[in-house]
Amino acid sequence: MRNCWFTTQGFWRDALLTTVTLAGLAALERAMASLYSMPHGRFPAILIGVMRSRAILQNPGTRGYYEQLASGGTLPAKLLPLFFSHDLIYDDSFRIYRLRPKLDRQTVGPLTAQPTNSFGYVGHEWALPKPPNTRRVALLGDSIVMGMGIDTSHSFATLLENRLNADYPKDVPQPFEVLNFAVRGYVITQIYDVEVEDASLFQPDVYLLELSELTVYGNWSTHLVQLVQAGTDPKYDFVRQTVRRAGAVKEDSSATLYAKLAPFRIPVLRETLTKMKSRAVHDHAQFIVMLVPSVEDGALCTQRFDGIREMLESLDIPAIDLLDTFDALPYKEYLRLEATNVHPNRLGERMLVDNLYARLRAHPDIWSALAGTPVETRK
Amino acid sequence: MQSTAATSTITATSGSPTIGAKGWVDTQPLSPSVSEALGVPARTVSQQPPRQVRGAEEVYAAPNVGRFLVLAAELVLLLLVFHLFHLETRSFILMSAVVFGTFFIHYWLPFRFKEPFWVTVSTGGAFLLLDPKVATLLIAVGLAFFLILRLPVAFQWRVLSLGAIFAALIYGCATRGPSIPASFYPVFGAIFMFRIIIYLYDLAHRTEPPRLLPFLSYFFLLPNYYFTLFPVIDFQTMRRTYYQRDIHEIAQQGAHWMVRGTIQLMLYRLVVYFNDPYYLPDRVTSLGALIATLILTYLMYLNVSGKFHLVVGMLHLFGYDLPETNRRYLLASSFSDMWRRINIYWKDFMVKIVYFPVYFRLRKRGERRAQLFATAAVFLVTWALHSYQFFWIHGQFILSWPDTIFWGVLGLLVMANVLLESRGKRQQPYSSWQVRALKPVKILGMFVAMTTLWSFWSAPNLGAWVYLMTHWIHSH
Repeated sequence: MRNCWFTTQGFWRDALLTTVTLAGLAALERAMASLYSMPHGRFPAILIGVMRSRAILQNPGTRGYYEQLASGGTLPAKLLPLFFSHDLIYDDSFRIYRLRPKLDRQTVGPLTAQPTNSFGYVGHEWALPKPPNTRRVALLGDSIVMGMGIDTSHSFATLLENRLNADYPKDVPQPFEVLNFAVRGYVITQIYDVEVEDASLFQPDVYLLELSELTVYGNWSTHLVQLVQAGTDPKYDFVRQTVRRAGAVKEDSSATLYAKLAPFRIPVLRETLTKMKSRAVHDHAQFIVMLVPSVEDGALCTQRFDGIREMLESLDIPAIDLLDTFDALPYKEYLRLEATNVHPNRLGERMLVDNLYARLRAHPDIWSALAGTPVETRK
Repeated sequence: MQSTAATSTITATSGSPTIGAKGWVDTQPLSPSVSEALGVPARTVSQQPPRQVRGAEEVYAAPNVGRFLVLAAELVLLLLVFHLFHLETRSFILMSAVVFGTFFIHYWLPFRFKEPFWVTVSTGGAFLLLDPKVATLLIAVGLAFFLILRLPVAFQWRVLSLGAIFAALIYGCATRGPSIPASFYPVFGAIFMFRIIIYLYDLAHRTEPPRLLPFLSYFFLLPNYYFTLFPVIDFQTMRRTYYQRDIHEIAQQGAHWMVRGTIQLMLYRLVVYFNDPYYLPDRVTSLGALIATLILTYLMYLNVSGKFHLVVGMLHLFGYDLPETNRRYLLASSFSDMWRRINIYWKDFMVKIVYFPVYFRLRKRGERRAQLFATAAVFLVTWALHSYQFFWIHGQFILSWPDTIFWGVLGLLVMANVLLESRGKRQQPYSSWQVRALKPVKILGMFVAMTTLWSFWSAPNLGAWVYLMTHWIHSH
């Protein structure tokens, strides 16, 4: 064998090895969908899915030296498109930025017919006092339930409102009103401020909070980092204390600030959720949390929410887990806004609402908290 | 293989003036201890094989239909795999398609047209992959550099002029003024920040004036517009290895390295995936999790080595028989060995620009002293140049403790290794079974040391690293 023609002909040997390897890789990719449907093939299929995933590199979990070197700026790459837009107003307030009121359309991601009202939130004009016979749901969250990159008519809030109303008697003109207070890029501390400062003014019956990986995972502290860098007062005592205990100062680099704040992720989440629930109780409203996935490959979302369900249970907050919404499909790119943008597209948003509705129906207590009784609805 | 670039600094090639013609290398043999520490063969000028006779390149470039078809099939398959696995971005697939398409034409061209054709496509490719304004600026600055280097004035004045342009661009990069697009600086840096140093160094040690074609082929490399993290290719090596053997062998090796790079980039995605749970240090709550994240953080270097394999593989298609960029670095058995295996082009760059000049200057005062000082200088400059590289991409210099300590510790360890190796040579050598038994232990020890050091390098600050390493203890 050692002296045979094949082994001495470097070119032909290497060509064969290269061709076989490449053909094998191509076959592996093609076999992914079949593997995914097999009972024991799910894990290998997930691995193949990860190997072909460009989106996986956009996640904030990549912070080696060379990843920091190659990234475009001080913000995590995933967040860059969310900022520095003409659709936003930047100020020195606690929230750092807010949506510009009375926009005709928004320009982040694909150009979308997603107007904002005079309050600076997505959707049509809202009346400040709650209309009679209406159950108001204040939807709190970030870009996923805001419906970034999707026309308003196909966004999560609209789909949910339509779905809820479709189930109610025709003689009640508008039993449900879902007010979309979600703003792209907002994390838990900003969302809390939205609840306290804006949403509560509209007398909602329910606060429906979306928790995404943005809020519970690597970028949870983005807002605090920006506050410290801007030298803005953290406004709330527990946020001030967190910044002080972390030793975060304006002069620190972004990376240093993220590192200093990292140990406070769970305490800040717990504290904020507690306060949000208290606020809901104060407003005689229900407080429900949804765990909402991005369109990630593999089981990233599930991994990232580790410990969150337990935390919600310990706080006695009713929660709906939607993290498995996209699990049935091996090729996730068909549900994404763009190839590497893990926000759900129209189809993805519809799947989320469908799953939410199914889960709500499966949990009568939470359904009752959200929908109230028909009598309660007509008050 | 990994030492080819460094070898070029100490060897002469007939037909072109000796690089060391200014008098420090061309007659001085390297002692084995020096050469081994650096991964440079202990060869002298006289031991260098004679240059191929003129015209040999043309023989090596002779086409062969059968072999061409095999190569073409491999490249088409490779493109298919890029597409199926969404390797990198769409720009990358576009760039790869252009590179492979260019190869299909380039292969059949008469030898004298080959390099001009590649250079034309490569330079024009800037307009395909970059913003037209950035591409125009890039080529304009490159041509300005060339014209300055051709000026009939003393070398130091030419270097000074180049330095003035660099200073102006550094100012522009730091202030990000509106006249130059911000996207210009990372690409400019990727092309010129290191290779201009090598080019000037080689020019200083040569008597002939710079020529346009080699200049353009060295700087305006099509993959470089896409990959801002680019191997520091040595100019002399690039020229010397051009069609130095049969094109089919060269191109086949290139295809092989591209496949290797592709697989490494796929594995990198798995590494990112498995490391994701530990990205937040508060989730590293067990010793197992800590070990996993240390290993996975180190393995993230697959991203760099994968890209470097792709880049060099692509250049092989056009006859540049460049050496390997990374070679089984996970199997390094000592710090010196690691230095020879990982990012070999960087090691060769440092050896050429820093190590040898310092070493030969200090050699008269003692061999070991010269080695140690030269090694220290290499790591000092490496540290500074990493900050300089960071500057071109981000517009600000990085001066962090983890970065400083990482290079400092690594430098000290390599210096200690050099000392140990030089002492070890005088002692009774180990028997073959002892060597074989010790080797895995050394590799394992090296792997543990590197994973720990790498995690430190990747940490944003000292506190974050200490928290990562100790959180699992407190969480119990």
